[in-house]
Amino acid sequence: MSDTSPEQVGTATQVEIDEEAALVQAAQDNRAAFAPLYRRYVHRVYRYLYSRVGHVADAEDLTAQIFTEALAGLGRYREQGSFAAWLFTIARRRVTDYYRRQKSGASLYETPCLSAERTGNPQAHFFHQETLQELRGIIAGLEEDNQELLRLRFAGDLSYREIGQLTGRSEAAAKMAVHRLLRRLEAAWEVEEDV
Amino acid sequence: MSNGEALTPIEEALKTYYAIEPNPTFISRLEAELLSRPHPDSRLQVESTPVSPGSWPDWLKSFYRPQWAIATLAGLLVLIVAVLALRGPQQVLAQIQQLLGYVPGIGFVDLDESRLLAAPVEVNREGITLRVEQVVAQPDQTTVVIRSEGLKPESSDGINRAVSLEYGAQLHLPDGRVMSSERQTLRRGAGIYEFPPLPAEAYRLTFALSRLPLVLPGAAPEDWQVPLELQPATGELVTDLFPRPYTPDRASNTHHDISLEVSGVAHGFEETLINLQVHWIDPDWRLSRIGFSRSPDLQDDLGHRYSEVTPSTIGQSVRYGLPPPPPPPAGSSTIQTESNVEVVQDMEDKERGPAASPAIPTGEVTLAFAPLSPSARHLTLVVVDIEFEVPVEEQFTVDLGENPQVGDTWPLDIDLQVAGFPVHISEMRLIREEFQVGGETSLRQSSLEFVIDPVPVRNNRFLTGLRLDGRSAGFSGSGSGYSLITGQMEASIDLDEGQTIPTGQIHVRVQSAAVVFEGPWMLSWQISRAKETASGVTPIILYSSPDSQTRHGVTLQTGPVTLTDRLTQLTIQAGDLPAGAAFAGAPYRPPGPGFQGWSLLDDRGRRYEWTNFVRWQPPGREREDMTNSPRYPGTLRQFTFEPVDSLARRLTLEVPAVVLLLPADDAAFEITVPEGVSLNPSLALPRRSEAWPVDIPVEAGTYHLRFTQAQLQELNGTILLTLTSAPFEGQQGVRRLVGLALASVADPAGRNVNLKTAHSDAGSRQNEAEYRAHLSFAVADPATHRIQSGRYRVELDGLLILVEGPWTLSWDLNR
Repeated sequence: MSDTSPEQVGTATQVEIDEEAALVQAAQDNRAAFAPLYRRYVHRVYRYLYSRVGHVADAEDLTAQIFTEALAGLGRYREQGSFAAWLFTIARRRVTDYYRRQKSGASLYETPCLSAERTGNPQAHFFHQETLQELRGIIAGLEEDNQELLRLRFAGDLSYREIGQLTGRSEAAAKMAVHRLLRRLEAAWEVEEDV
Repeated sequence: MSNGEALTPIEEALKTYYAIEPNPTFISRLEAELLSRPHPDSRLQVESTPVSPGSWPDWLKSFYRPQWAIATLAGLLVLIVAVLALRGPQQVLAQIQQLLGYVPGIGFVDLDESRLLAAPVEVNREGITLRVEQVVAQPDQTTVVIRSEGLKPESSDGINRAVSLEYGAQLHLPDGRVMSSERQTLRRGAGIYEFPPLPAEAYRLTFALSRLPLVLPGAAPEDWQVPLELQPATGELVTDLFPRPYTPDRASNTHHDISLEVSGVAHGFEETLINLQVHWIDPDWRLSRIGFSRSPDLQDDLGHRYSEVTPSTIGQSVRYGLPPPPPPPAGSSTIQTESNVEVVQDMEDKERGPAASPAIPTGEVTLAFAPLSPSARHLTLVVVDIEFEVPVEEQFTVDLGENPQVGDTWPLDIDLQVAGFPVHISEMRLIREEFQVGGETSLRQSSLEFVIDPVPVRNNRFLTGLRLDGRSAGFSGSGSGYSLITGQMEASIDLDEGQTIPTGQIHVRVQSAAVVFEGPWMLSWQISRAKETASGVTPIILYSSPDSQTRHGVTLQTGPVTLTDRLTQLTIQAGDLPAGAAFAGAPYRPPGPGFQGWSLLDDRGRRYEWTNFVRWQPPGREREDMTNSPRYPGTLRQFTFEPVDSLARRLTLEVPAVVLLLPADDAAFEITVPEGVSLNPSLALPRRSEAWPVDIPVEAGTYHLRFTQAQLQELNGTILLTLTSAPFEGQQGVRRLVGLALASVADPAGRNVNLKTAHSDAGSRQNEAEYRAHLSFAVADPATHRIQSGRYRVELDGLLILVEGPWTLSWDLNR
């Protein structure tokens, strides 16, 4: 993740903004230069989408839609904060459309089936399936706003500033909200382990 | 996470929990696709703005993925066209087929300029075997597939999330270089490792693995080294190693000028892949879906019917992996359709010979089915219908007035002609939707929803959706819904949360329509290998002496057993039952914790699992009606398992539970839907009305329940009345109430209500400790889809009671 301790927020964040702005400008000037932007965000966008729809094929389709839309709309993007926030705004909007089309009364959220087979992530394997299930149960019991905070932070790998822009909070408020949520999860997790 | 700050355990856990990585092939292909798109201004297209699939409704989703396969298949087509001119079709096709291998777990692989392992290599240590099953060294990557045997079950138990374990692998080259795996897909003791491409001269290498996949430190030998020797992938080697894809002769069918053709088949151990080409006439149409109302069905000549499965290449279409197509020859034109299919038309051909066929749009779909019976010789693929997106040029204007509010409805009388269908929009409503996610309210948006009167089927085609465009009025999205059960269709234009609801007149464009074309398309062919092999095993139906067992007053008996080389199909019927009760079936899932589920064993101790993706019925006949057989009276149920060992002489099945139908004492009641009850547009989906109290007792045997609440909800394209009972004693010993069986429902006009959408269940729902029963049936007028208030008469068949077993039944297989 891109955040630093509060003392370093100003300097490190500004560097990231400048770097990102340069990539965006380059892509706006030359579409072939979209590749670095794409590579910078595609994994994060995919993880976020998968955490929302819980299905590989749907996540892939949505990812393709979002980057197609981003590329098409790149000329209209004006630096107003964060490209990531702009990109994830598109992503959230497309997920809304996806849910809308899934309207059936059934639960629309399917927690990803996480195992090393699906993730290809060497770290995923050493979280026993039972542990992941525990976590899944705890997360499923959270309010949707809080679930979204977790997805933006841990799936989308967004900074507190970017989360704040997406959720209408200040950076400090977003950070506080995430930290409180983590404390709450820790407490619930410990209870599950004790049982 | 935070630079310089260590992650806490919960952060570590969450990071892992959300750590889903996309398939790298998907990532690279999408990048190439995005960057290859021409600037919108230079592109031949109908719309003035770039096509944005982001706003396409769900029924276009399936179209989007095949683009990558279409793009590469176009490359294949161009390559074939180019080479045909030099070498002739048969030789070229044979050569291309030989270069394409289907590697299980990897998919169709272009093995040109590749190296392979001629045979698996294994290493044994301390009773554990590590086998390198296959190495595929292609120009762009190297894939190693491994499997191990002899691991103890507990070797993976209790893997601790806090322990950092490394399961990567390396390839050691003779010159000392070491390549590390970039990605791995792991199961317990098995895995697929992906490495960078090998140097061109590397044929000997060593596969090094520090620890077997998902095995705890110390639970098995570590630091494995497996020497490997690769060989160039020649046609002969590929043929020997991998299932060879083949192209059937004339496996095609046409309806509505839409042709389906099987262009490639591969039979693997885990799946049967079928490449289907779709040709149609109108280049403005886009292929949306193969099989709208029902998934395609694959049948063989032995009576097996195979269901679709998830391909082992998860989500991927067929990959041919050919190099980019050569540029079109000079003098030719390239037609780029909206489907991104490139069809090169060589203008010079028109002068040389018969006129070249005009370019026709083509789509390609890969279907995956369960693996076939080795004895099958003939296959038939049945596609019942196909959905296309058809462009439309229609528009209409509606007036929202000065102060539209969520919940407002406007009667409309708008007639449109959409893709040859008369469409009448009868109502518009402004709704606010909150999408339930995991039971909690989620996203909120306002939508202008248009109610469309049922559109009649025409010439074996039916309309299933409209794509509307309200952007000129500030609407950012659109949606469409269709119910297969009721035929009701809705279309909407949507506002994001925070967007202001427009006022006054708004202009809505109908951009396109989803049209389903009914078939069925029947494509038949002889399996390629069948030409070379002798006939295989014919299915056998055994009528052995019946076995039975009685528990808790319920007797189950064995019926016939069908044995094929692909499955074992067992028939069970009910014998003696409690007075008045009828056998209603046997659930697949165990009734609760502590139950082991279904268990089928043979006399040699071998256990057989369910097989969900293949079933059997006598070919050319309807399923034999065993209920009319004097030998086996009573209701039947068939269960399908893996094929049994040819040496097995006896099968024993454990049935965990059955469901009985008990007649209800109060078999009929009346319920009134009050006037004025409406669905609340502000409530979370599914839209519901306010609940109202009722008092309806239902009794059957020792079960006494009372419906105390009624509520309307919109579900499955209709409006249901749901009755909920007060808490009651649903579990009584080994029996528990699991639902109510409806016989009939008469609406206020005395008409029988369609029970397709009716539903009942009983139990403790999520987050509730109390045992309740629920009963739902439709209360919408079938013509208008509006709520029909008034008195309904409900007649019950009875109560559904689950009885826990288990029952143990045996079949004698002496043939």
